Amino acid sequence: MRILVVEDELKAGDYLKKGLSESGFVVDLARTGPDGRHMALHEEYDLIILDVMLPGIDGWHVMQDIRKTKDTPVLFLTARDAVEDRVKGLELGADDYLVKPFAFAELLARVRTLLRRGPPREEALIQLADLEIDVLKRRVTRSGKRIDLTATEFSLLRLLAVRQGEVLSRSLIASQVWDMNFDSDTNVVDVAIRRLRAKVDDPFPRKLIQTARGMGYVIEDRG
Amino acid sequence: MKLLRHVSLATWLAVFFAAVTALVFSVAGVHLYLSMSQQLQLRDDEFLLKTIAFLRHRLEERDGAEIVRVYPDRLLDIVMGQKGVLLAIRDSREDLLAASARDAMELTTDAPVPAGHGQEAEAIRDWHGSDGERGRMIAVWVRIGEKPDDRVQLIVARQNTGSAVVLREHRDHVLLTMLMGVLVAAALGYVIARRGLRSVRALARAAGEITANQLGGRLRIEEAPLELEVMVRAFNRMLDRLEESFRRLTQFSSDIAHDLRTPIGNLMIETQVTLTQQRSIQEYEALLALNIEEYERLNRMIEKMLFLARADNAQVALHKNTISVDSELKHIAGYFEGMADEIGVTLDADATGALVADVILFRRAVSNLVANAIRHSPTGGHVTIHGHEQDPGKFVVAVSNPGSGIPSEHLPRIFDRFYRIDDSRGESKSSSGLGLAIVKSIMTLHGGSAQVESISNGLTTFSLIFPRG
Repeated sequence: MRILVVEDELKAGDYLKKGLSESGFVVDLARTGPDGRHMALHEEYDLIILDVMLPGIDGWHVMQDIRKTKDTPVLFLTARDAVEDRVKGLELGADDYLVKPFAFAELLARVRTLLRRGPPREEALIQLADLEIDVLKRRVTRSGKRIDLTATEFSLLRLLAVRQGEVLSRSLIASQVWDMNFDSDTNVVDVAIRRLRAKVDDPFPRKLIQTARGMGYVIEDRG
Repeated sequence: MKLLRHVSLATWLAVFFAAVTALVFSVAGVHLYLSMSQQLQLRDDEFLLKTIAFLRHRLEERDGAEIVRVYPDRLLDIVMGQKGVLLAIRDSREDLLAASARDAMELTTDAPVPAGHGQEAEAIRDWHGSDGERGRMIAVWVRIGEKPDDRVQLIVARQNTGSAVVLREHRDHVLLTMLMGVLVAAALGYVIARRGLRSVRALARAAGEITANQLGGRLRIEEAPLELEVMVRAFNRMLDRLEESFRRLTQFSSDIAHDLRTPIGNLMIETQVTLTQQRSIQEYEALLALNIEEYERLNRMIEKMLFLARADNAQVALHKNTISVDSELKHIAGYFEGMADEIGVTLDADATGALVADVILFRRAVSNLVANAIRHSPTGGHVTIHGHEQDPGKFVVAVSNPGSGIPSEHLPRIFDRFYRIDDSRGESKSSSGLGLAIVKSIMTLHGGSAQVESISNGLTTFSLIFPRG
């Protein structure tokens, strides 16, 4: 998968390239608007990550030019978290946006979602190691043993399982499970994870819910 | 108008005074002039009537016909000595019998009235002489002697040379007086206005001495004239508010600096200590993870400060919707249930009615209160979240928790930014000191308010008061 990153800030560009490369993507980096536009139009990419504030030509114009000929998914980055900016970006044809500063895990999650093209498949049965989640019947079993979960615990487990292998940040979890769209100083998410682990992981030798220190949580069978 | 705005108030007042004086003088002058000219004309008319009466009296005597035809000079003598008076006598065929002067020969009229029937007064007309003289004239038929059908025409004219001069002099006098009056009024007006405005200049000077560093100064109310008292009071109140805001702002800035410096200092020291010698990968990882947590906390704090700054400038757009408060509060309670349960605190939410508010901000405000309530509840405590309509047009959401309570001296400042009741309890680690400030900001954005009541070792209740609609 090839990704083009258009970012003028030196450090940010380097870390985006490094982080995405290490996550298994082939990454090209453009540091100015004209360079980014040229590369976007003349090379084939699966995704373009575009900073709005760019020297030369700003991100909006680059996006307009890309959209004239291509429909490569575009994720734009904006430092200004004004609503108008986001609306403008989406109206110009961007597929998603992130407000700086963002958690790298968050960016990775968005990138993967965009590359999957379209919403994640709604599987009726999600499996991971010996864990089985029957989404329709809301039944969870591990090694054939039934696990009773509350509605919240079920949504949390399902969110992790649908995006297994992806590190989900606390704010993403709070927003997806509880629809709380602001950062809180509380440990609500950690408590919820702890309780979920007590039911899903603690009774079993193989631990599935992993803590990505400083980033969030991920469900993964690490053997 | 732009040009006129730069003219001083004193000049304006002087000009107004002058204009008003000019107006008063003109009205009075015109009135005096008219009444004087009327009076003079009346005097002229009276003279004409008297002359006519005298002549008629003479002609109606027995020898009237003889006098007219033989000795007309005797009649003319009556007017001869009088300056500007002309007399012409014509017979019934309008032929001139006698004239007092050359000019009198031209005196004619088409409408003489018979004398002695009381019509003389109305018969007086304006007269314009051939040399441009102006005046009044009268023409009457007068019976001569004792024969009823023998009559002559008497035409008397009086030039108003005298009265015209008097009137012109009068007019000039009035104009001169007016000019003087206007000048004096303007000068006096200017002086009075400047004197009157002296207190305004004094106030302006006092106001000019107030700077950002010396916001403590106030205008002295006792020095202001009665009319300016309201303005001075308003100005002083404005300074009070400015000083308070300024003080808060200064405090806020130093608080920000302090709150940012402490975690950044910790980060630096931890990292430096780690780097002093070779360590295991695990130790590096642990440090980086610890750092990330600190960065996230800083990031959240900056996000909050940004929110407050934007709310202050009313740049936060409200997306208002009707909220079913009961389900919303239960949802928030559900969010905190696990966290409360961990420390043995129970939660209970109920409400009646609906409310129009921005749902995200509503959640944020209530969540901040609930998180605080759980944090400060003792084990086994019970936190209630209750929403209800209160007297007309208000909706109250109250969050209560038991506990030691907030000492009353902290209550007035509890919603201030970075205000923490006790720094030494290490509370600053878990709280940014901005949560309640954000609650207050959200309520201000909604046109409502936030209140707190606390009973020592009893219930502490935070209330959000929303206006309905």
